[in-house]
Amino acid sequence: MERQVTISNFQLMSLIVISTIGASSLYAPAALVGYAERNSWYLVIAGGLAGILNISVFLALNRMYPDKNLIRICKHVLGPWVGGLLAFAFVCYFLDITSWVLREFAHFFIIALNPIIPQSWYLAVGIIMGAYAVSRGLEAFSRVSEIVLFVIVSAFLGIYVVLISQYHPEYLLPVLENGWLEPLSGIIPVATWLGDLMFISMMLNHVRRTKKTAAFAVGAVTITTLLLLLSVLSCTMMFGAKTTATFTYPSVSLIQNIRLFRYIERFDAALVAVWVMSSFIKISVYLWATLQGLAEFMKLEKPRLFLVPLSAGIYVCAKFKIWGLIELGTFYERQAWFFYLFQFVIPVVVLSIAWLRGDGQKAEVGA
Amino acid sequence: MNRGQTEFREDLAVNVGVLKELMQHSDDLVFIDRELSSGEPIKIAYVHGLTDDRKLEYLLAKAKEFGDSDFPFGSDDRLSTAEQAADCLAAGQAVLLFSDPPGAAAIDVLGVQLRGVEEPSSESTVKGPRSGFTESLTNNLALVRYFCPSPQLKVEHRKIGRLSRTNIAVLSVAGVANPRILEELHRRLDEIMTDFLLGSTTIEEWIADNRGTMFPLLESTERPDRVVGALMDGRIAVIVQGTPFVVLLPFVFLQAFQVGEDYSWNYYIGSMLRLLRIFCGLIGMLLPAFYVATVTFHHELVPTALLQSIAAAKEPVPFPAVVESFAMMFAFEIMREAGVRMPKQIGQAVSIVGALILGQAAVEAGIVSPIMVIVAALTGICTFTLPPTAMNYALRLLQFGMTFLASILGYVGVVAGIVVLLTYLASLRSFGVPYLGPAAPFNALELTDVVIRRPATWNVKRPALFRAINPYRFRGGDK
Repeated sequence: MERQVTISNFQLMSLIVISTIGASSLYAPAALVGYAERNSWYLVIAGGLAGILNISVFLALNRMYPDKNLIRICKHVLGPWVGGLLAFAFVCYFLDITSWVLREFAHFFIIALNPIIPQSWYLAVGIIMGAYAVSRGLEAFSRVSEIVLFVIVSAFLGIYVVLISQYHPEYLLPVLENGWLEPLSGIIPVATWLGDLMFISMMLNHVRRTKKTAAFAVGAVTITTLLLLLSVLSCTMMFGAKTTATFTYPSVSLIQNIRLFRYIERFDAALVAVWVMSSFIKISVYLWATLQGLAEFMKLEKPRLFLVPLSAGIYVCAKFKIWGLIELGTFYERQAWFFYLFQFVIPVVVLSIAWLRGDGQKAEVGA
Repeated sequence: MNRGQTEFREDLAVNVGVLKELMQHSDDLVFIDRELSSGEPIKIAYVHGLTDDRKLEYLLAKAKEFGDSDFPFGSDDRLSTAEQAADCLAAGQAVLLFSDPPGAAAIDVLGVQLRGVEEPSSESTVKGPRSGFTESLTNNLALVRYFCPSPQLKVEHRKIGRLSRTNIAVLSVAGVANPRILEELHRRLDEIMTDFLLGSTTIEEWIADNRGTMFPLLESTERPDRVVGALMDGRIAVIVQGTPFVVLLPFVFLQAFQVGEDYSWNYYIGSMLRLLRIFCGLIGMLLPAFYVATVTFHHELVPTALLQSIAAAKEPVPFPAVVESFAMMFAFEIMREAGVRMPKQIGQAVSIVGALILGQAAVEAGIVSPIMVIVAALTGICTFTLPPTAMNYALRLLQFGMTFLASILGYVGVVAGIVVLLTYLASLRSFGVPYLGPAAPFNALELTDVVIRRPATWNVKRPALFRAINPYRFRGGDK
């Protein structure tokens, strides 16, 4: 009999934090000042609440159907046809997200580190890392995520702490001068970043369940929100809101301002480590979710056989889906509804129908 | 009676013939005629050279004073078939053949010239016990018993190898070691199908969870104090006849950076030495890769003054950094291997010639830059700080892989290599124990006695990693 694959609450937390903090910490400071200027910290807090709401939907679904992943839940709740169609849409969404992450991964290095190495090489490295992790299994890359979490959190905190003498807190003033509502115009993009944790809908049934599972999941979104808050505050206090908006990657500019003992500078390598590691985890979790979804949807007995063709397909998608970073950034901002639809709206609809079917009460009785 | 086994006959000459046949008519098989006190003729058989002369002489002299049931050596063992007798002869015992009733008995007269207890050369120590294991299983067991005189120390003997019939001993502490791991070990030992057991490495390869990995999934040590420490943690030891290396299991990655001596110093020094070894392990694996990545792709990340020095040093060298790096690493490995294989006196000369003359000449000839020599030397010295286990060799091999990745993708390649390596290590297990534990799965409390060394008074619990059934070393008030 095949051994049940299980991960711990802490590993689930690590996977959520790493997957959500990587991209958002790079783009958020520049993107959010466009909506809320110096008050983007407020937008991050609002986004954090949206993220907690988002994760609560998946936790509620998991509570109702503890042994089912999202694909099986869709089929169970909506029937084989409508549910099957929605399940297929989710598999395609997972695949799409993997290819977006892969493309982000390559773009960052081309723009911020080294434009000489061709994009194809970065894409190949990213997908090979992810495919290898998936081939070694959920337990293996979940364990790695525990180490990566330590590296990432230490790196971020280290960066923000060593810059402390260069901060200008007065750049944050005045606070919310145009009221509480106006900055919320950017809530959808920030909610998509902090709610970018759809993969857990495929993973929660593998978590070694304890009473603290929900607390760890919510704690993960809280940690991400705090790290993002530090990132946004540091950039705003360092450069001011208007200058931050002009950077492609404000975090890189932040690091380039670090100078220790008047001589040691350019800590970009730390950012390379953070970015490779966080992208690795994010590509791995979404590739794993895609493969699991595909296996569930097509009733595959040996999903591993599909790993290589699937990875090759994602590589092709990532290479040709957009022409450059500007298009990528524009899509993230203007078409944020697309991500929000799959991350939040459709799961809420599925959850509501499940409630109407009375599955919620059954789960409570069972509990 | 097993099928295919030969019973003894009344006629001693027939039994001698059968034994000679079973022993392939070996010229070192000796038969001596004697009589018991009752006048019954017996034959004493032994393999020349495998026996202790004094014990043998005593046996031959006293044989006629004894009846057929009270031999002077205590460890006598009645044998019922000629095949058993042949096994005993091959193992160095003397076999007494009787005619009335037909039968045989084995007496332990083994006496092979072996070296005495010495300080293990592969795990030398500045402070701490200096005894090391030898090639004798009996000696090694006695050493462990000497260091751990506990009645709870359990020894289980087994024979492995269809032809070699090598004796091994499985050691565990009853009430501490997890019986499920012990059971699993015995199951894996049962599955060994080899005809010949050559040392402990063969056992390691047969019983490891993953036979295709270059990372050691079991520990190997020459030190009895380390074995006793492991047994007290709830681990299990396997001693193999003919090798001073004792196998310890389960084993996790971070233990490769520990040496027994850490516990001979106070915890500040012990912790510092452990951290230093981990740091050196990282430098040993990654420094050439970082150098190649920096020089090839990321000049802008180097402080200007240092960059100027590197550029000036590299200016006369016609090769790219990666070629320089591979050449120096390869040369270093050659010198290291030559130094180990050469007789001690010449070995020292080889390292001096290699380090001083060859390095200096290579720089002057413009083949490598002085910075590369520094990088290669520092890398090599760092790997010397690690215990000479298979992990040391694995990290040295990884140097080449990481440098290659650095040469094509810069820092991204190095970090990608680290990530893939971590994933691989995280997927390994040693007797069911995650190989990257207690770092992943993360256990802060246990990590403090693996990455650093905790004071002995804090070690109330045994490492949970090894699933000891008695988790406590001591509790408040216990003596």
